[in-house]
Amino acid sequence: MSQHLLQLQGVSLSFGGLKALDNVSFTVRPGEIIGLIGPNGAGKTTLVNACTGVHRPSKGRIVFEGMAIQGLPAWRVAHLGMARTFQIVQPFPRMSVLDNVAAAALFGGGIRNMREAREFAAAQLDFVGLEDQAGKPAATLSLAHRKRLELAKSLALKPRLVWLDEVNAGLSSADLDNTLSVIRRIAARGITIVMIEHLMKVVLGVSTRILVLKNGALIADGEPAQVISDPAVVEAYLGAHYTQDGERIHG
Amino acid sequence: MSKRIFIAQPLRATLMLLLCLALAVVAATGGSYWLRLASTAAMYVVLASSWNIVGGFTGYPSFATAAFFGLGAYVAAIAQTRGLPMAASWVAAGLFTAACAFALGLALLRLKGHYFAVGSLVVAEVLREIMAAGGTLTGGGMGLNLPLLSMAPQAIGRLYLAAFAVLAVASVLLSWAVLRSRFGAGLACIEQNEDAAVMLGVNTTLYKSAALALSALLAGLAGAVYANWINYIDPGDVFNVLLSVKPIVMALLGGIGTLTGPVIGAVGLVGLEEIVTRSFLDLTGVVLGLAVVALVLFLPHGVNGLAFMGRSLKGRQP
Amino acid sequence: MALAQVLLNGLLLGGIYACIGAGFSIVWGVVNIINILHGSFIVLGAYGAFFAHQHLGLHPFMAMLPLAGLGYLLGQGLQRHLIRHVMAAKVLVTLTLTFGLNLLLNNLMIYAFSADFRKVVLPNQEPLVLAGLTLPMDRLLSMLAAAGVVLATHLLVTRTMLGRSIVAVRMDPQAATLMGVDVDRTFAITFGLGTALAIVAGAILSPIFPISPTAADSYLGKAFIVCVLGGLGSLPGVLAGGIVLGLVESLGAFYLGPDHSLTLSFGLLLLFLLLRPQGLLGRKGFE
Repeated sequence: MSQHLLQLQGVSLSFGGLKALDNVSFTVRPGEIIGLIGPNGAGKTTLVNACTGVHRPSKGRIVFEGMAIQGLPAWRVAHLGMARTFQIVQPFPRMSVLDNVAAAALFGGGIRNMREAREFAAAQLDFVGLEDQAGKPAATLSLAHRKRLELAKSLALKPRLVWLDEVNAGLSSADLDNTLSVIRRIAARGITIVMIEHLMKVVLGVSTRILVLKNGALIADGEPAQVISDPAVVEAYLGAHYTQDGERIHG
Repeated sequence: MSKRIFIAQPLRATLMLLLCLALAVVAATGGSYWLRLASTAAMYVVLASSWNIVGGFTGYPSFATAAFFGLGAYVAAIAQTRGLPMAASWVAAGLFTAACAFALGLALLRLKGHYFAVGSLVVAEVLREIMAAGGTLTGGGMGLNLPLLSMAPQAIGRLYLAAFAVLAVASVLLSWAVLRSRFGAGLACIEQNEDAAVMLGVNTTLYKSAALALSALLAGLAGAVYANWINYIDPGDVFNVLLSVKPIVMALLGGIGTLTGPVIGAVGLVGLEEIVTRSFLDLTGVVLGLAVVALVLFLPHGVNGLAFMGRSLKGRQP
Repeated sequence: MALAQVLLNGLLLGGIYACIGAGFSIVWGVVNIINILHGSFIVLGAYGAFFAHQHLGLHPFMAMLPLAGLGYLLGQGLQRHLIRHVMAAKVLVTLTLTFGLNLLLNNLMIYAFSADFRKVVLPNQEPLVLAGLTLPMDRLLSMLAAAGVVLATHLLVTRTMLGRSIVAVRMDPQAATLMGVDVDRTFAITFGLGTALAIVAGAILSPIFPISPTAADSYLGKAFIVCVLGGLGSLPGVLAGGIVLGLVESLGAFYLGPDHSLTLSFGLLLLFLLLRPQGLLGRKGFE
């Protein structure tokens, strides 16, 4: 049990009549970099929302570091060592970049002293390469920089596990290479990563394991090479007539 | 842009000092007219600062100021008609109002924008009707009389000015403490992006209600002192919607979300009203309406003018 | 039997309240402005009908149309030249602006007409008696006129091009722009429409309720309640809200006395805001 950082046990989530998550179970071990993939609408972001307290699962348990967290309010979860980024970035527009990150440190990150929070925030900005933007209002940042700000805020929560929700959407290929290295450096800090990604290049380049979600259900869970040649996975993405023995997918 | 900050801060500090000086002079030597005017100004400093905590720092446009003011007035009045000493009844009024506000806030602050504004407005209306229907406890529609102090009228005037002045200074100090604290940082996060604040670990439900409670404490205390000052309260008087609206206009005038904005706005509007009433009598309402319209159209950020600065976590200029 | 009469009175009142709420709902729902001027516009319409009756001998229902036209121009002009400038700002700023404008208009009316209560006095008509229930003619006719106006507005919004652009702007101003709708112009037209509806409501009320600028606040309050009860963004909602308010007031006055029926109405409003802000028929949104 102590080897599991995060464990989902039979998690289901319905919105009215719509089943967004269907009996999802898996475990995350410390140090893993997990790619969470699946077609649009498969429930990937819903899964993150369920784990971070935005939604309460209709069924099942979510256990983080031995503690059951399903149903806890989102602000509580932020204090427990699990962070996430948002697809559509959510800064505090009129605060400086530094203060945006310091806010995270001050609350979820548990640093109650303002000065220390700012120092810790500055260190996170250095890590993601935003130190020269520190004094600017967050609203003035470019998209690529906003994505990095999201990352810095997540790191300021002192997470043991971080959910990266499409951190690469909308970035140029130069920015992409940079992101890959940042992800590796985050992992090097001892932080476990689960990343929602559409770009196969990124997923295959970094992940130690891949989870595939379709229509709210987990249809594959294993090593990258294994998963991408799984017929069920191919069908989910490309349709039945692409499924053939020995067929390989190009990323 | 930064030059304006440095010019603005010492200017405001000097202004505050001058106001304190003027207050002291009036308290020591003023006749009953000036005592009354200064007391009114100080009272509105409290109300505008009170509103600023919920409306400015937290971003929830509250119209409940009259509700808390009136509730404080009634608690103080009822307590005193039952024999509680004046000062104790004031404290009771403030605390009771704050507690009610906290509880109310848990439900009310789930609303946003217009809905919250309307909801907070209605609270005062409902409270007014309840007090009016309260029979002998609240005096019903006839209101309540409060015991008179046995002192010379001028001395009474100075006493109440002192009370309002202490409250006014306390309001500003409280606001300053909030701005510098972790609590204030949380409020700033809520004001700028509440959803993000939640995800970063701010207990927004608690913080919002606490802000409302703090705001109600000040407004309730002001209402309690007012009740004794006037010696008589009735529902239509202490729950009057203008007691909710004027503090908002004052905060807008002086600069929402700033420390000294409510002070400048309160003193400014009370002064303006006094001048207008004396000059225009019948047309007072018309001129005030014009003033408000002009203010909103030309100075949407109050006397900060066009130099609207980004706010840091501490709520002050970065 | 008394209960049936009370309910009927409530229904008659309800139709009139729906008319009071209609203009307010459209402006709030589409332009996202809480128009504090609404109550004063209603009173202005009532004065219009009063003077038209006194000096021109026009029946309020006749005066309605030209008055509506004038109201439309007033509202549209106000939005285009004043209110438009602050629409990008916070909720609070537009609210304060309409509050200031209301202070201005209301006090101008007091100055011009005095606060004394007036009333349009029409020749007395025999009440209609059906199945033991009394239907005062004036209220019945006003209620029918009010319902007619609300229905006409509903048809305008659902059947015409103008109406469709209004609905589009309500749903998504940005998408509407992309589809070629002039959002600014639509806002101005909608505000004008809302003002016209308020003026018409005032004209309809003028034979029934006493007219004075001091009544503006209570009309505003009723408009609020109708919108929150019935839900923003739909005229059927306004009708539902109006009827519920009418019934609540009538029942409240009957069982609790007229003093407390107001508390009941506001209490109901608060309850709805806390438990069901979208009202009976409205959609969530429009903060």
